[in-house]
Amino acid sequence: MSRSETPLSDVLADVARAVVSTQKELDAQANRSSGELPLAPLAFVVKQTDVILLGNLSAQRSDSLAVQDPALTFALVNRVQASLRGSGGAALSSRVSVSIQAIEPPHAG
Amino acid sequence: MPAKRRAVPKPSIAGRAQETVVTAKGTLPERKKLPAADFFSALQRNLDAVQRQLSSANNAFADFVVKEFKIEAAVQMNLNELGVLQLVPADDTMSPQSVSRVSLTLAAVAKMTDEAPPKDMLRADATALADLTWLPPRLVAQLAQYEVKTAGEFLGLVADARFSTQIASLLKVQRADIGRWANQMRLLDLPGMTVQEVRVLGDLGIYTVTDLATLGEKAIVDLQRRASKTLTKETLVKWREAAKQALL
Repeated sequence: MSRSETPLSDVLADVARAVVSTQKELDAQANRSSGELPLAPLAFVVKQTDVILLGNLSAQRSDSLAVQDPALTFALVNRVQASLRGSGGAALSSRVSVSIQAIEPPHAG
Repeated sequence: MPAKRRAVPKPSIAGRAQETVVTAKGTLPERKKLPAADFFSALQRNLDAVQRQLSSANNAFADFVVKEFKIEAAVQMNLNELGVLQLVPADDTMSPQSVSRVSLTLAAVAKMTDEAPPKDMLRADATALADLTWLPPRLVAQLAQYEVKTAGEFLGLVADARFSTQIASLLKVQRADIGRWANQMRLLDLPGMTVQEVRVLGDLGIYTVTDLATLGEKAIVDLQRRASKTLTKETLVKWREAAKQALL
């Protein structure tokens, strides 16, 4: 695995962590709120997060007889790499998109 | 604002898959080939992992769920001699003209518990061919070279009569043997049936679910007598009833 390749599960985990962290920050703001904030009685939910990742997929699987799950890795393409590759590079890139939604906060409404 | 955590629906594949143009020709890099089924199951596992992480996140205010997951993968495609679709993720060494795109959209839906298949029904799908002691090891090795490594994959292959003939020719085995092995694998779908028990039944001349379902009382007594160390009459009767249910 080259230095820029990361297991796809780790990439997605980062996305999940980012959503939860954002929500925790919003919760903290709501709990800290007092008279100085104009929206003091309100709380907020990260309703939906859409993330689109552009990069290169690769897969690794052992050649043994045993049934072994392959591992997918993902290498994000940075802006410099994308520009150097030109239009041909786009055809070689993969796109992973994940939407994460908040579901029915029990105290909403 | 503390809130009691609730179970969140686990995402399952309920989306649509499009496999676009197969443009790859010639030999693909051998080490990088990945059966399409493995590619999709790897995606499923990654998605399960992110959903597990979301549902276990210690966040009191809101629960989160993966609403949709899309992937447009740049891959080279190949069909091997046994018809197994293989994918090779694109890299910089490939010409863009040789690369196809596989587009897959997964949507999260709540699982209906009463629709979930019994755990035992999945055994044949997951059982490695290498674990099936009644299969010749040489055959297992040959099938592995064609990316056929589980009973489920083997059954999927032989379900298509065209490939059954092709397998017999490629692997130099008899079609009748292929049919018998497939039938023995289907026995694994009976609740509680193990690989070892299928082998014992095979030694007794029982190869199919129908063979089991049609056992008479006298035959059961006879079988039990011949394999008294491993089979009881109650077990045989239980399997016969399960086999009858499977044939309904």
